[in-house]
Amino acid sequence: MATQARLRDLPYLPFSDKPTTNIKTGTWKYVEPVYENALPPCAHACPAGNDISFFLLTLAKGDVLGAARWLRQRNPIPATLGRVCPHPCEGPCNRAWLGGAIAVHMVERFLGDVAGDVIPAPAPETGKKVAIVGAGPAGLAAAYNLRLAGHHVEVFDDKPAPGGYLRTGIPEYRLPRAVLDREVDLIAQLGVVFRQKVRVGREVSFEELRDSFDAVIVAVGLHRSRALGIPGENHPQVYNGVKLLEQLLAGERPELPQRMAVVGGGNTAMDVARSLLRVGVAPVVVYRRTRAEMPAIAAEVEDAMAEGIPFEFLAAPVRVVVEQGRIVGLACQRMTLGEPDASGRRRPVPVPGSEFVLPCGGVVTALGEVTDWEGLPGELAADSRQVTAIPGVFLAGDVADGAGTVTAAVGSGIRVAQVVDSYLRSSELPAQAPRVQALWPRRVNVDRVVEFSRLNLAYLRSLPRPPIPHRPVEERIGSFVEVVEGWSEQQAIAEARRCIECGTCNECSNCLYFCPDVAIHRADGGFVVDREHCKGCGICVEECPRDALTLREVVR
Amino acid sequence: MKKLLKGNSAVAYGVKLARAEVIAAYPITPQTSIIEDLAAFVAKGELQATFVKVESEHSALAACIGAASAGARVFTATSAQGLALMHELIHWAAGARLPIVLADVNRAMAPGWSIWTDQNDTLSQRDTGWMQLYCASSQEVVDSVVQAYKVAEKVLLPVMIVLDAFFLSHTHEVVDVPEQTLVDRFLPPLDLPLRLDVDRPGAFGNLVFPDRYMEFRYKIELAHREALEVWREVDREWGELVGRSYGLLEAYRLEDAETVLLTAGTPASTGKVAVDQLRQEGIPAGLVRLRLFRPFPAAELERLLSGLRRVVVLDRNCSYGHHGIFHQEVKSALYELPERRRPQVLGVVAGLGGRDITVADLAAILRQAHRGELAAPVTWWNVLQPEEEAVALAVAK
Repeated sequence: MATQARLRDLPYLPFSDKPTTNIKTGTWKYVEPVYENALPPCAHACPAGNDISFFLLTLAKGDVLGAARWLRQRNPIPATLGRVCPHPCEGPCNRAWLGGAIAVHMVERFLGDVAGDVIPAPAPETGKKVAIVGAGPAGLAAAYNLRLAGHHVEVFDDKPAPGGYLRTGIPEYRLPRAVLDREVDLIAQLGVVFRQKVRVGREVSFEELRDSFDAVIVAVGLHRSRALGIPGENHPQVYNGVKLLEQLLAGERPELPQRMAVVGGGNTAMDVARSLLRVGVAPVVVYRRTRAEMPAIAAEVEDAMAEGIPFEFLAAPVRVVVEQGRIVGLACQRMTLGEPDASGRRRPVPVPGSEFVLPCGGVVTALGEVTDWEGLPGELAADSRQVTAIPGVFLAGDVADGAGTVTAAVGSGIRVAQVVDSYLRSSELPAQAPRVQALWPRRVNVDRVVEFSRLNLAYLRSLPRPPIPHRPVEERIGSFVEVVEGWSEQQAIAEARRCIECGTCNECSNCLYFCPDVAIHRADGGFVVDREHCKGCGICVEECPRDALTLREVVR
Repeated sequence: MKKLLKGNSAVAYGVKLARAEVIAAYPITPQTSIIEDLAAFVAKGELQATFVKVESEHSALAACIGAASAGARVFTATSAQGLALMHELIHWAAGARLPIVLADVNRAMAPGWSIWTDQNDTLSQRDTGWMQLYCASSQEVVDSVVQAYKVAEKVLLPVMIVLDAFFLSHTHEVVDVPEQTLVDRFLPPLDLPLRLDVDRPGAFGNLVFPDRYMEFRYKIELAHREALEVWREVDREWGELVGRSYGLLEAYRLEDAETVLLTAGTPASTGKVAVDQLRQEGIPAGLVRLRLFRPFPAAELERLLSGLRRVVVLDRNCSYGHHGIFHQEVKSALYELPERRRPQVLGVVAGLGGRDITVADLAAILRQAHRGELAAPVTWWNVLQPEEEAVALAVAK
């Protein structure tokens, strides 16, 4: 029976306690939000492809062991890298504009040092065998990843212990041996077999390796020093920097002149000079360009200067000055900077009539290193996939790309492992080089890099970068004690919490709060969009502080 | 307490006395110093309110609508293009029956850019369901803001308090700022009947089918009718409390008047001086100031003007293609009078874009009208006229 409608029975404004969900407003949209992790600039820049923001997020939640495990998914030497990597991740860090870049290397170092059950379990045995020539960072990374994939891996190396340049070229004040030993041990515990003091071409032939293994990876690095090419360089007090460093780091203390010129501007030059300082020699670095052009890690140059090592810039050696059989100096030509060369750095040009003698009792060359191909089938070359012309033979590390850093070598090792794994499983090679970022166990659109302009600054406060603790100079000189001191768990977690988490949802709930249509709901570990009601307004995407959402065109 | 205040500061003091809880606004000249004063009150803790910084006037009113829907007493201020940008939400605020108070400092619309006063910005919002009140002094501004909250919250309609740019907004006058305790007695905290409540989910302003939409609109109309009486009561109550009241219309020297100037805003103050001058000349002039424009006090206007010879409506605005807007409104209201009591209604459009309206202007207008020399129906005052050839050219085209 119809009742009489009365004006006073109506509320004063349209109000309903019934839901509006029967109106399917989702049909109105032509774009829709998608929760899609994007690549943060740190991981984009990381040569080893570390999933930096995600281990920071895990650590920020207080899950120290989880973060350490995530870091070691593919990277076998985070404790080492946290100490020696020049951290290119920190340069493009979006946090740089809001208080200073995240000190990723300090957190990586902390997590690398975390003890306990941090290594993933290997996949079931495949029965395939891989030989790796060289136990440097590329070889270690390849070995680790191939072993995790279930293959039998043997590493052949001519040095007494694994580590390659990490052991023979990086001084203990940057990388304590105990740290390296532990990381090598963890790899060995997985079942990787290390065959030390075995030089390919001497104890075993390359052909034997090819016959006995399903794949061979050459990762011998760059260990032969370039020559100075000046008169007098065959004098016994002209030292090969790589060899001298190896001796010093092995604990040998040869008798050395009191004052030595270290020629070069790279990391080897810095390591040699700082090591000489620690054994009582007064080094002076001679470099033909200026500080700005030095290929060495900037922090290492800074540390060397802080330790009082003098630098002779814009000086190119022309002759070793020998008097009565003894070196008395290094004659140098003064240089000036001209037009940029192929490397983009300004080319040093001699200043006529500017020769001078730098007084010294010895000279160390550190002009860069080349590969020693002896024992191998000639100079091998590989394509971008690290595949050589010889079937089943691959390259990794500096011999593949000459990138020159430990981290790049690790990335190269991870990538070659992926190529070799698919080769071993299907005898097929991938069409293109894999990206480590694309191998992460979590899904990320690696082609969408989070630019600073994509962050919503309304939700991001500036937070200062904490100082990196350095041991005082007077405690450093005279010993090989580690220069950079580590962080406590609290410090590492605090730094992880400073991370913006560019491109990764950290469940801040802004999207849910701002959705005008209540079309975003909590779901297990994140959020879901109710597509039946989302109108595609894009407010959630705009209000996401970290670009973890993107708009996609709806195709009907 | 006596203070030397410009009109904009008077708005801020009124809002502070009313204890607004949420203020969201975007700066625009000549309004900006209102929200600057309020921001300072909030920053110093003199006003316990949330000041929401927004990126546009549209968002400013949206924030006010959200806060008001949750039951908060809210305030915003704007001018000209800012008010125009709010337009969609101006309608929403009225339809949602939210007792929002907005101060608009009348500024001429662009282009050409002008920061000076005229009334087209607020009069463009005439049909949105908002109440509109035009002030003529800083004292009236303080008092009107407090009154506005009381009326708005009784009838559940938003109010626009309107001030002329610079002539009022930036001119200092001695103002008696009422004691907070008095205002607290006058204006109880807002208790909105229907408000956002997480424990009682509901849809506000939901879809209404043709069988009911009109009823909701009729309720807005009924609220406006009721508001006329509520304004009178509230003004009277305020008068008893502080000794000042204004009425809906202000009448000046209407006894024996033959020619009456009708206007709104500060030109009314100037007009009083002109009226005095004409009375000295022996011309029986008078003045009516329109204070409340929506709801329109038509009956009161009829009563005041019934039997007068002529009314000159001075508009600082224009509905292009027709008359000044107050002119139309007055004319239509007076049509209800029997013909013999119906005054002649003439219109003058003057002072657009802040052009000065002087005592001499208004005296001349009244004099011409009294002598029957003012052109009907509308005169654009003190404006360059087209030359003969220009007109011929326009016709030829």
